[in-house]
Amino acid sequence: MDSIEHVSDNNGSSKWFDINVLRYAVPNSANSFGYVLGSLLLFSFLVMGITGALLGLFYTPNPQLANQSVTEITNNVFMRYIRGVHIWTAEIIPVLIFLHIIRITLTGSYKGKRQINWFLGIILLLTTFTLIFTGSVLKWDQAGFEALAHFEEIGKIFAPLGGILFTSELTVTAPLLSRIYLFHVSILPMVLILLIGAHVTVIKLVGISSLPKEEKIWRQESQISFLDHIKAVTLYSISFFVAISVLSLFFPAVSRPAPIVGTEVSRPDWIFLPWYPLENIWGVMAIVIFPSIITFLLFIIPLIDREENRNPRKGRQRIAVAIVLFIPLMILVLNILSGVLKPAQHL
Amino acid sequence: MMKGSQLYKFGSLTFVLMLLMIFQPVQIVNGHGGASTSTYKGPMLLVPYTNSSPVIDGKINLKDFPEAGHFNITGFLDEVRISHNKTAMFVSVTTDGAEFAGVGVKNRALHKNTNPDSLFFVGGVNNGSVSTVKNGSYIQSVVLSHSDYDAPVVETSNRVSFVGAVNVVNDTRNYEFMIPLLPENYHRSSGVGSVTDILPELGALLDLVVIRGEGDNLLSTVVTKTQPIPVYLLRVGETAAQIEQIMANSPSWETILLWPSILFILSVYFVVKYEVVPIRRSN
Repeated sequence: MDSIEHVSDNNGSSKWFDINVLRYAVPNSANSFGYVLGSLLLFSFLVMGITGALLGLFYTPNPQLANQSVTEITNNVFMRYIRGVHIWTAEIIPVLIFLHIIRITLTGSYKGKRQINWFLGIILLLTTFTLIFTGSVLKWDQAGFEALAHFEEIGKIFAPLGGILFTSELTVTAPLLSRIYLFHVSILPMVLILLIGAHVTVIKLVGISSLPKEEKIWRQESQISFLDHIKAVTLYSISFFVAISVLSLFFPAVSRPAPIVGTEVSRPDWIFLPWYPLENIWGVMAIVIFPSIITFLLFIIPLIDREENRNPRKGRQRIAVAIVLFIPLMILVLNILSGVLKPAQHL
Repeated sequence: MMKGSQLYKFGSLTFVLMLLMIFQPVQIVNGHGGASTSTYKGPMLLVPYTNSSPVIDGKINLKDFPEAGHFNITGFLDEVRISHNKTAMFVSVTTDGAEFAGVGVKNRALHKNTNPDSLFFVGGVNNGSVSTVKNGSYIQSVVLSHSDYDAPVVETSNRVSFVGAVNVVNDTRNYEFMIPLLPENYHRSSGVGSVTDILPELGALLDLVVIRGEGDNLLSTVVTKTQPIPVYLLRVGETAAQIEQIMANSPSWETILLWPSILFILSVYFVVKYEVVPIRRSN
């Protein structure tokens, strides 16, 4: 750790931190929008952690009281704002993640020493989506209830492989909702923190990626330091937070009625909407098949493309580019399909 | 690159803006404004026709539905519009159903500059006694309305298509539906019967059943013996667009398209920015 260390000044006294350690050169491109997406995600997770902790003060993970507690939270002006920030940030995080993945792929930043970070990123992606999913259940409205019902169905299918953890059959002493809450506020955040720590450590070790065309010259021509990068990231983060706050205040969080057992009428949030038409084809197994396909495709990218050349128009990087650009197109098409197709019962 | 002092100024300004936004007047947070009876702009809960809902001989007892929610909401009918050529039935199964239906209809009528004295509501069955209430003051529990687009749910007396009523037995909270009367131009039932008796006959006339009740399961059960009429449980303040949306049984397009579109557009931006496709630049 060179950023936090005891540094002696000229007078012989000791300072716990010397700002100059942050003045090392980073690529000029580091402050561009495409290159701060990872930092924005880090900030988003921080926002989620803080707002989530505040919401946790008032939320009750009990099926009989959960919806009511969400309503109480939403009825309070300040807590409605906090919940709005939590929800809007959760909505935007998948966009930032996919853009982050796309930028990395287009600039070939997954190659060489950064390969390990690509794989860590995939696990981060899955962890984040699990967090968003568990969060969507906690609000305990019809959509949340049905999402859990789908999830439990998968848990039953994979019960021998540990899926029973996500079913009501595990125990009668704790409702499934409280177990989901445990995962959302404790286990998954811990996993996330560990993964982010590893992800950031690798970045620190191998350095911030540069634009391909600047790869060999940026060390000589760089005009910005890491400290400048931090300032830029701070500015981006503040802007991001202001935008989220405006959204939260003018499109505030709402509480929906408690769920109805035995009905399947809602549609999922936008990020899980692509599952919806696929469930018409594969049934609830779409919940497993679809992300497995996406994960597999992302996983094989560094394995397919081991070339050092960083050019999205040449070599095997073209395959990687095709794969990641397929993702937003697919989400868009599947979401439109989900709006066009007739609703069907999947459970 | 932004200088440190600029950053602090920006941060300070942002902080002040944040404080202003957080502690702004509540009505801005609530948004919309509008009629006093419909300041709440909550979401809707869709309760579909389903064969799996329990039927208890046409009677529904809230005690059988411990998960049933509770809605202390009055008046949303003033916000309701029904699409052209659509027929809807509005049902309230709460003890304050009169307030729900009556206030909403009355406000709607007043909003339309209709003389409330010309309103003629038939309905109201309370503990077995049929009552007729005029002047828009009260209608006990059910409004059956055949309405044109942008017309009041219940219009003046000469245009009311039909109005009915159900019974609310307050003491036992055993909500047995009774349809004591219907307008002559449709079908008249006499005596007491469950709503499941009357709905099959109304089924051909109805495009939508809107229910407001204390028991979320309630009216999804009611229609199990009928044709597959879409049944929706609404909370206060639903807008015309929302009503039409649920009638189409489809999520809003902004929900479907907002973030995927942003993601797609920014992806295209990256494709251009990082020169995935060769862009011929002039000069």
